[in-house]
Amino acid sequence: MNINGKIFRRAFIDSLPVLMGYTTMGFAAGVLMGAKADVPFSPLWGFLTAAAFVSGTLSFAIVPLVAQSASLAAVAAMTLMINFRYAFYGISMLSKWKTVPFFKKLFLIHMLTDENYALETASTIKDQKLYEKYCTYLSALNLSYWISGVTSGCLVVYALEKALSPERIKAATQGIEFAMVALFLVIFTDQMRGFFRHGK
Amino acid sequence: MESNRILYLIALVAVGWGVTYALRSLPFVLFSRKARELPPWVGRLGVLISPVIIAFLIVYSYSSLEWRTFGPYLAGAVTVALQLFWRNPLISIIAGTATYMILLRV
Repeated sequence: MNINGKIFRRAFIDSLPVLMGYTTMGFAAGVLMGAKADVPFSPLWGFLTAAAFVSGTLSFAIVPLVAQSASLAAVAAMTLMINFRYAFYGISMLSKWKTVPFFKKLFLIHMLTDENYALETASTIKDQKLYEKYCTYLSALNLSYWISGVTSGCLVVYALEKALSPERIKAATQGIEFAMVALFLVIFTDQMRGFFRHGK
Repeated sequence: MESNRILYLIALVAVGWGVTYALRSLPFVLFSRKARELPPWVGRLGVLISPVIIAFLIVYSYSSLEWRTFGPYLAGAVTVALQLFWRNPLISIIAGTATYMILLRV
Protein backbone atom coordinates (compact mmCIF):
# COMPACT_ATOMS: atom_id res chain seq x y z
CA MET A 1 0.00 0.00 0.00
CA ASN A 2 1.39 3.43 -0.86
CA ILE A 3 1.93 6.07 1.81
CA ASN A 4 -1.25 7.96 0.89
CA GLY A 5 -3.32 4.84 1.34
CA LYS A 6 -1.64 4.14 4.66
CA ILE A 7 -2.44 7.59 6.00
CA PHE A 8 -6.02 7.34 4.77
CA ARG A 9 -6.35 3.96 6.46
CA ARG A 10 -5.06 5.40 9.70
CA ALA A 11 -7.45 8.36 9.50
CA PHE A 12 -10.34 6.01 8.73
CA ILE A 13 -9.62 3.69 11.66
CA ASP A 14 -9.29 6.66 14.02
CA SER A 15 -12.56 8.06 12.67
CA LEU A 16 -14.61 4.93 13.45
CA PRO A 17 -15.73 6.09 16.94
CA VAL A 18 -16.66 9.40 15.35
CA LEU A 19 -18.62 7.49 12.69
CA MET A 20 -20.70 5.93 15.47
CA GLY A 21 -21.13 9.23 17.29
CA TYR A 22 -21.82 11.53 14.35
CA THR A 23 -24.25 9.33 12.46
CA THR A 24 -26.36 8.56 15.52
CA MET A 25 -26.15 12.03 17.07
CA GLY A 26 -26.68 13.57 13.65
CA PHE A 27 -29.67 11.31 13.11
CA ALA A 28 -31.17 12.46 16.40
CA ALA A 29 -30.59 16.11 15.47
CA GLY A 30 -32.15 15.44 12.05
CA VAL A 31 -35.24 13.84 13.60
CA LEU A 32 -35.61 16.84 15.92
CA MET A 33 -35.25 19.26 12.99
CA GLY A 34 -37.75 17.35 10.89
CA ALA A 35 -40.27 17.15 13.72
CA LYS A 36 -39.94 20.61 15.28
CA ALA A 37 -38.07 23.11 13.08
CA ASP A 38 -41.08 24.02 10.91
CA VAL A 39 -39.12 24.54 7.67
CA PRO A 40 -40.46 23.95 4.12
CA PHE A 41 -38.19 20.99 3.21
CA SER A 42 -36.35 19.70 6.25
CA PRO A 43 -33.86 17.33 4.50
CA LEU A 44 -32.36 20.26 2.57
CA TRP A 45 -32.35 22.35 5.75
CA GLY A 46 -30.64 19.52 7.59
CA PHE A 47 -28.03 19.13 4.85
CA LEU A 48 -27.25 22.87 4.73
CA THR A 49 -27.02 23.39 8.48
CA ALA A 50 -24.96 20.22 8.94
CA ALA A 51 -22.45 21.31 6.27
CA ALA A 52 -22.33 24.94 7.43
CA PHE A 53 -22.22 24.55 11.23
CA VAL A 54 -20.57 21.15 11.77
CA SER A 55 -21.63 21.67 15.36
CA GLY A 56 -23.93 19.19 17.03
CA THR A 57 -24.89 21.47 19.87
CA LEU A 58 -25.83 24.28 17.51
CA SER A 59 -27.81 21.90 15.29
CA PHE A 60 -29.96 20.99 18.30
CA ALA A 61 -30.16 24.50 19.73
CA ILE A 62 -31.14 26.12 16.44
CA VAL A 63 -34.37 24.10 16.20
CA PRO A 64 -36.48 26.01 18.75
CA LEU A 65 -35.05 29.31 17.45
CA VAL A 66 -36.16 28.53 13.90
CA ALA A 67 -39.56 27.36 15.08
CA GLN A 68 -40.12 30.66 16.93
CA SER A 69 -38.61 32.72 14.06
CA ALA A 70 -36.15 34.17 16.57
CA SER A 71 -34.26 37.32 15.55
CA LEU A 72 -30.90 36.95 13.82
CA ALA A 73 -29.29 38.74 16.77
CA ALA A 74 -30.67 36.08 19.11
CA VAL A 75 -29.31 33.37 16.81
CA ALA A 76 -25.89 35.07 16.76
CA ALA A 77 -25.87 35.38 20.57
CA MET A 78 -26.88 31.74 21.02
CA THR A 79 -24.21 30.59 18.55
CA LEU A 80 -21.57 32.70 20.28
CA MET A 81 -22.39 31.17 23.65
CA ILE A 82 -22.71 27.57 22.53
CA ASN A 83 -19.60 27.55 20.36
CA PHE A 84 -17.38 29.82 22.41
CA ARG A 85 -15.09 26.93 23.29
CA TYR A 86 -14.07 26.60 19.61
CA ALA A 87 -12.16 29.88 19.93
CA PHE A 88 -9.64 28.05 22.13
CA TYR A 89 -9.13 24.97 19.96
CA GLY A 90 -7.16 26.82 17.30
CA ILE A 91 -4.53 27.79 19.87
CA SER A 92 -3.28 24.20 20.00
CA MET A 93 -3.27 23.96 16.20
CA LEU A 94 -1.33 27.18 15.48
CA SER A 95 2.08 25.52 15.38
CA LYS A 96 0.82 22.17 14.08
CA TRP A 97 -0.80 23.76 11.02
CA LYS A 98 1.87 26.38 10.38
CA THR A 99 2.84 24.96 6.99
CA VAL A 100 -0.66 24.00 5.78
CA PRO A 101 -1.59 25.82 2.52
CA PHE A 102 -4.15 28.62 2.91
CA PHE A 103 -7.28 27.03 1.43
CA LYS A 104 -6.67 23.67 3.05
CA LYS A 105 -6.28 25.48 6.36
CA LEU A 106 -9.62 27.22 5.83
CA PHE A 107 -11.23 23.80 5.51
CA LEU A 108 -9.43 22.37 8.55
CA ILE A 109 -10.58 25.39 10.59
CA HIS A 110 -14.16 24.89 9.38
CA MET A 111 -13.94 21.30 10.65
CA LEU A 112 -12.43 22.13 14.06
CA THR A 113 -15.03 20.19 16.07
CA ASP A 114 -14.59 18.62 19.52
CA GLU A 115 -13.88 15.25 17.93
CA ASN A 116 -11.49 16.44 15.21
CA TYR A 117 -9.66 18.58 17.75
CA ALA A 118 -9.24 15.62 20.09
CA LEU A 119 -7.94 13.29 17.38
CA GLU A 120 -5.71 15.88 15.70
CA THR A 121 -4.00 16.89 18.94
CA ALA A 122 -3.61 13.25 20.01
CA SER A 123 -2.08 12.07 16.74
CA THR A 124 1.49 10.81 16.97
CA ILE A 125 2.38 11.29 13.28
CA LYS A 126 5.76 13.02 13.23
CA ASP A 127 6.15 13.85 9.51
CA GLN A 128 4.54 17.25 8.88
CA LYS A 129 3.33 16.51 5.32
CA LEU A 130 1.76 13.23 6.42
CA TYR A 131 0.19 14.88 9.43
CA GLU A 132 -1.47 17.48 7.18
CA LYS A 133 -2.81 14.70 4.96
CA TYR A 134 -4.08 12.89 8.04
CA CYS A 135 -5.95 15.98 9.26
CA THR A 136 -7.49 16.55 5.83
CA TYR A 137 -8.69 12.94 5.43
CA LEU A 138 -10.01 12.88 8.97
CA SER A 139 -11.92 16.15 8.48
CA ALA A 140 -13.42 15.03 5.16
CA LEU A 141 -14.49 11.65 6.60
CA ASN A 142 -16.05 13.16 9.70
CA LEU A 143 -17.85 15.81 7.68
CA SER A 144 -19.40 13.10 5.51
CA TYR A 145 -20.56 11.16 8.61
CA TRP A 146 -22.14 14.25 10.15
CA ILE A 147 -23.97 15.32 6.98
CA SER A 148 -25.26 11.77 6.35
CA GLY A 149 -26.51 11.47 9.91
CA VAL A 150 -28.42 14.74 10.01
CA THR A 151 -29.84 14.46 6.49
CA SER A 152 -31.04 10.89 6.98
CA GLY A 153 -32.73 11.85 10.26
CA CYS A 154 -34.63 14.62 8.45
CA LEU A 155 -35.49 12.30 5.56
CA VAL A 156 -37.01 9.67 7.85
CA VAL A 157 -39.29 12.23 9.53
CA TYR A 158 -40.13 13.79 6.16
CA ALA A 159 -41.13 10.41 4.74
CA LEU A 160 -43.18 9.58 7.85
CA GLU A 161 -44.93 12.93 7.65
CA LYS A 162 -46.06 12.11 4.12
CA ALA A 163 -47.46 8.80 5.34
CA LEU A 164 -48.92 9.94 8.68
CA SER A 165 -50.51 13.25 9.63
CA PRO A 166 -48.20 16.01 10.95
CA GLU A 167 -50.31 16.21 14.13
CA ARG A 168 -49.66 12.57 14.90
CA ILE A 169 -45.93 13.07 14.38
CA LYS A 170 -46.01 16.13 16.64
CA ALA A 171 -47.87 14.23 19.34
CA ALA A 172 -45.59 11.20 19.05
CA THR A 173 -42.38 13.25 19.24
CA GLN A 174 -43.52 15.44 22.14
CA GLY A 175 -40.68 15.59 24.66
CA ILE A 176 -37.94 14.75 22.14
CA GLU A 177 -36.55 18.23 22.79
CA PHE A 178 -34.99 16.78 25.93
CA ALA A 179 -32.29 15.28 23.67
CA MET A 180 -30.54 18.65 23.54
CA VAL A 181 -30.55 19.05 27.33
CA ALA A 182 -29.27 15.48 27.61
CA LEU A 183 -26.43 16.32 25.22
CA PHE A 184 -25.44 19.29 27.41
CA LEU A 185 -25.62 17.11 30.52
CA VAL A 186 -23.39 14.49 28.91
CA ILE A 187 -20.81 17.09 27.87
CA PHE A 188 -20.89 18.61 31.36
CA THR A 189 -20.54 15.23 33.06
CA ASP A 190 -17.49 14.39 30.94
CA GLN A 191 -15.96 17.80 31.61
CA MET A 192 -16.39 17.32 35.35
CA ARG A 193 -14.85 13.86 35.12
CA GLY A 194 -11.83 15.38 33.38
CA PHE A 195 -11.63 18.12 35.99
CA PHE A 196 -11.56 15.79 38.94
CA ARG A 197 -9.21 13.33 37.26
CA HIS A 198 -6.56 15.89 36.35
CA GLY A 199 -7.20 18.21 39.26
CA LYS A 200 -7.40 21.17 36.91
CA MET B 1 -44.65 35.25 2.96
CA GLU B 2 -43.09 31.96 1.95
CA SER B 3 -40.17 33.64 0.17
CA ASN B 4 -39.58 35.82 3.24
CA ARG B 5 -39.36 32.69 5.34
CA ILE B 6 -36.81 31.21 2.95
CA LEU B 7 -34.72 34.40 3.02
CA TYR B 8 -34.88 34.27 6.81
CA LEU B 9 -33.71 30.66 6.85
CA ILE B 10 -30.80 31.45 4.53
CA ALA B 11 -29.80 34.42 6.72
CA LEU B 12 -30.01 32.16 9.75
CA VAL B 13 -27.60 29.60 8.26
CA ALA B 14 -25.26 32.45 7.30
CA VAL B 15 -25.30 33.92 10.82
CA GLY B 16 -24.79 30.54 12.50
CA TRP B 17 -21.95 29.67 10.14
CA GLY B 18 -20.39 33.14 10.30
CA VAL B 19 -20.24 33.26 14.09
CA THR B 20 -19.04 29.65 14.37
CA TYR B 21 -16.33 30.16 11.75
CA ALA B 22 -15.21 33.43 13.31
CA LEU B 23 -14.77 31.64 16.65
CA ARG B 24 -12.88 28.72 15.12
CA SER B 25 -10.52 31.01 13.21
CA LEU B 26 -9.98 33.54 16.01
CA PRO B 27 -6.57 32.28 17.23
CA PHE B 28 -5.29 32.06 13.65
CA VAL B 29 -6.27 35.69 13.07
CA LEU B 30 -5.01 36.98 16.43
CA PHE B 31 -1.73 35.11 16.60
CA SER B 32 -0.81 34.83 12.95
CA ARG B 33 2.47 36.73 13.32
CA LYS B 34 5.34 35.11 15.13
CA ALA B 35 6.08 38.23 17.17
CA ARG B 36 2.96 37.86 19.27
CA GLU B 37 3.47 35.30 21.96
CA LEU B 38 0.45 33.50 23.32
CA PRO B 39 -0.30 34.67 26.88
CA PRO B 40 -0.49 31.65 29.21
CA TRP B 41 -3.81 32.75 30.72
CA VAL B 42 -5.52 32.16 27.37
CA GLY B 43 -5.02 28.42 27.64
CA ARG B 44 -6.14 28.31 31.28
CA LEU B 45 -9.22 30.38 30.55
CA GLY B 46 -10.10 28.01 27.74
CA VAL B 47 -10.13 25.05 30.12
CA LEU B 48 -12.29 26.88 32.65
CA ILE B 49 -14.78 28.69 30.48
CA SER B 50 -16.29 25.76 28.63
CA PRO B 51 -17.96 23.97 31.60
CA VAL B 52 -19.29 27.30 32.89
CA ILE B 53 -20.98 27.97 29.55
CA ILE B 54 -22.37 24.45 29.32
CA ALA B 55 -23.75 24.71 32.88
CA PHE B 56 -25.45 27.95 31.93
CA LEU B 57 -26.92 26.33 28.82
CA ILE B 58 -28.33 23.48 30.92
CA VAL B 59 -30.13 25.90 33.21
CA TYR B 60 -31.33 27.93 30.24
CA SER B 61 -32.64 24.95 28.30
CA TYR B 62 -34.54 23.63 31.34
CA SER B 63 -36.70 26.75 31.15
CA SER B 64 -38.21 25.47 27.88
CA LEU B 65 -39.09 22.10 29.44
CA GLU B 66 -41.88 21.27 31.92
CA TRP B 67 -39.60 22.50 34.69
CA ARG B 68 -42.35 22.81 37.32
CA THR B 69 -42.77 19.04 37.32
CA PHE B 70 -40.19 16.51 38.50
CA GLY B 71 -39.97 14.86 35.05
CA PRO B 72 -37.03 16.81 33.57
CA TYR B 73 -34.99 16.45 36.78
CA LEU B 74 -35.48 12.69 36.95
CA ALA B 75 -34.64 12.41 33.24
CA GLY B 76 -31.56 14.56 33.85
CA ALA B 77 -30.46 12.34 36.73
CA VAL B 78 -30.88 9.25 34.54
CA THR B 79 -28.74 10.87 31.82
CA VAL B 80 -25.94 11.90 34.18
CA ALA B 81 -25.94 8.59 36.08
CA LEU B 82 -25.69 6.56 32.86
CA GLN B 83 -22.93 8.82 31.52
CA LEU B 84 -20.99 8.47 34.79
CA PHE B 85 -21.12 4.70 34.82
CA TRP B 86 -21.43 3.68 31.18
CA ARG B 87 -19.70 6.53 29.35
CA ASN B 88 -21.67 6.04 26.18
CA PRO B 89 -23.16 9.42 25.18
CA LEU B 90 -25.73 7.88 22.87
CA ILE B 91 -27.13 5.49 25.50
CA SER B 92 -27.26 8.31 28.07
CA ILE B 93 -29.06 10.68 25.71
CA ILE B 94 -31.57 8.14 24.41
CA ALA B 95 -32.37 6.82 27.91
CA GLY B 96 -32.72 10.33 29.36
CA THR B 97 -34.94 11.50 26.50
CA ALA B 98 -37.06 8.35 26.67
CA THR B 99 -37.51 8.89 30.43
CA TYR B 100 -38.68 12.44 29.82
CA MET B 101 -41.03 11.43 27.00
CA ILE B 102 -42.59 8.66 29.08
CA LEU B 103 -43.03 10.91 32.13
CA LEU B 104 -44.81 13.48 29.95
CA ARG B 105 -47.38 10.85 29.03
CA VAL B 106 -48.19 9.35 32.44
